[in-house]
Amino acid sequence: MLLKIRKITWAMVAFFTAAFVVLYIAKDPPTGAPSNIATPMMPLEGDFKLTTNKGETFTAANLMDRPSVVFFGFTNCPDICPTGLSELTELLGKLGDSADQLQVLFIAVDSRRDTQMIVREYLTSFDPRIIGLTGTKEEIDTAVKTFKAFYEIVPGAKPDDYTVNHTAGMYLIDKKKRFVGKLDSHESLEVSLEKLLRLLKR
Amino acid sequence: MRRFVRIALGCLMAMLISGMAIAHEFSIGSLTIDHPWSRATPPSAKVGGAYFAITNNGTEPDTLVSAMTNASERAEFHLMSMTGDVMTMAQVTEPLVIAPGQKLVFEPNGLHVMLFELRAGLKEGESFSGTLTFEKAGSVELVFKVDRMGAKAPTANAAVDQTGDAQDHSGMSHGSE
Repeated sequence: MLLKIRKITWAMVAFFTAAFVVLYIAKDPPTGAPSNIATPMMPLEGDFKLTTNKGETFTAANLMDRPSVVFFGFTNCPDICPTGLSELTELLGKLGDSADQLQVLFIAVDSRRDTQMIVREYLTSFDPRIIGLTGTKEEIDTAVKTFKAFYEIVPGAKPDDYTVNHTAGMYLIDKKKRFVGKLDSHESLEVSLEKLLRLLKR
Repeated sequence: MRRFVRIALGCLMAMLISGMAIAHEFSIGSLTIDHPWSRATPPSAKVGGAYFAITNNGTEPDTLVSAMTNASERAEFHLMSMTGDVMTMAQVTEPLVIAPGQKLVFEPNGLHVMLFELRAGLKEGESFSGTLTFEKAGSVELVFKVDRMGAKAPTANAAVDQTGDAQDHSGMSHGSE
């Protein structure tokens, strides 16, 4: 009798373990993100034209010859944008002088509210090496498409209260203008630093 | 033995003091609101976030209805979430019910009070007052301490307040400073 119970118990354990493994493997990968998300070592194709916070023109050609970190955001963002820019500031501080070889770009996707002047003022809180990029809606759309990033305007209670959903990860682009990875907003500062060091060595 | 007790007491005191330096708490009815805080904003930023944790120590559920602060024109409850690698932001429209024994946490990268039309930039070390209104418990006035820009959780710095308000850890609700 006891042996029978034991056998049944073991059979159940085996069954549930197998079921768990099967379910775990079959589990859907996280969805919802744009499907054309950048994959490692993908060359950046197409051109775009934006304006830096110093009033200079910035095109895809400016991504050649030096590695870049590209972050999308908007100044009416209470959470991830100041957090991300603070983290970038900290990372650039940790990199010290070698950070000078890095091109750090903040593309303001809210073309209606984020003028060149507003973005320039906004960025005074962060590392001065971070370059703000603005443009008309068409220019922003073209740039976002080039990076295979994503943004959308979400209407709010009042016409000026809209918020913007946007790509949160920071794109790492090597000096040959290829996507080589991303800084994830969930990873630790140490991991991000390691990725930047690797990007600088490429 | 006596020495041991003295060391233990010393440790306990140190823990209490350090705890006091960070935490400040408000309460209304059976609800406690722990450490209301906010983050410094960059110049030209017109929005900010405010955070706290509400615990319901009572036997009845209550609902958080609204928030307002003297730092902003308006305040709404918003939820930031990630869909893949896309940050999404949306106003919370369903009722924010706090069941008995439960804790509702407002924090960066999650549920937060979205401060619209900031009257002035929020500066680290400063504080501002605000009010939360609950369906049953009514309204409670809070003091929000402004922490470092981009802080993911409150740091001890936020408690360094020129007005000495950090001394207030009585757990009693009180008026503005």
